[in-house]
Amino acid sequence: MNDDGGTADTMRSAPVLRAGFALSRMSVRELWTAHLALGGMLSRTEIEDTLALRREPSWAEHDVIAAALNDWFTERGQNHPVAYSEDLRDGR
Amino acid sequence: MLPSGRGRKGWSLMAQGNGDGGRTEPDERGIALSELAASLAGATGVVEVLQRVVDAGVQVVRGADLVSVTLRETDGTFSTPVETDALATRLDLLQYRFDEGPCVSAAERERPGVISVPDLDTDTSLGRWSPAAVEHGVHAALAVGVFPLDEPPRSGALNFYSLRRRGIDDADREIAIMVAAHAGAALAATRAVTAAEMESAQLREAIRTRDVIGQAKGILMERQGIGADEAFAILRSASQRLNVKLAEIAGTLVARRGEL
Repeated sequence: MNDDGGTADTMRSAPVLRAGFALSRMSVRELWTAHLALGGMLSRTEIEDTLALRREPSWAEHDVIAAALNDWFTERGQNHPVAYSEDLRDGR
Repeated sequence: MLPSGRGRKGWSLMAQGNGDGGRTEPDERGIALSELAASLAGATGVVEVLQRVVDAGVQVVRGADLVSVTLRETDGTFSTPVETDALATRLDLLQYRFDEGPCVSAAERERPGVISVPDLDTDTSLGRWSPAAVEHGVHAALAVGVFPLDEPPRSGALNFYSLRRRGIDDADREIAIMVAAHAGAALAATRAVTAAEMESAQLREAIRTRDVIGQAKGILMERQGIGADEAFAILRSASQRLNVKLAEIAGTLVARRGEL
């Protein structure tokens, strides 16, 4: 995968974000707002498409969304359960 | 102490003819309903909306001596946020405790959600509540579900109590349904505004945080000669290592940029 995203068969980012989102109790709107606060540029629809595995984000987009999710977990005493791009790029 | 029974207010349900070829003028209740609609438009919160509804309700429903609102909470329990007399709240609380009574039934019933009990002294349909109400000096009751922009369960009920047997009649019921419709529409609008205000506040906070993170990234980019994505990666890595929210890392960097 490159920074332009990938296809459904090769997705590595979107499934991770989807799993992290499912573990949280955030709404899509809350995640979108949190990602906006961290400097993200995606629309709410693009976030929804990512979580529905209809869209594979770039690595930069992935890291912002993952950071937004991880901030939610950090507030609740958990330490960054959503993997960042460096772990996914290496296939770990 | 019980409020004194007021005798039926002397208004006619029908508009008053003025002797001018069938033209009519609105009666006092029509005017009061119009004034209620106008005042609800200016109400800024749920309690304010409901207080205006009960204040108008006791005026336009001729036989009502007491008016209150039952609201269904998100956990399914009921509460009475506003009333025209503390006795109305006591009557409501008895219904919540017994899980039976006009307001509980009206809040849960399918449309139209109207429960009218003109004579509580002889009523047997409301279980323990009717004799308890009579003990408190109340002899007729009407409850209208509030209403019905959403499917049931309703958001609550508008409750009218009379100190007289058969004190609430069919005309009162029709007017009460109109008042409840006003209440339902105003309540839905107020809740929508409240939700919008909350979203607006969250967005303002997000933009403020975004500005701080932008400043932190700028500091790192300038000092280390790196790009925006790399700067974000440094903040993110520090957040992960220290298990502190990324915005706090950024805020610390900006606040202590002269020391670090």
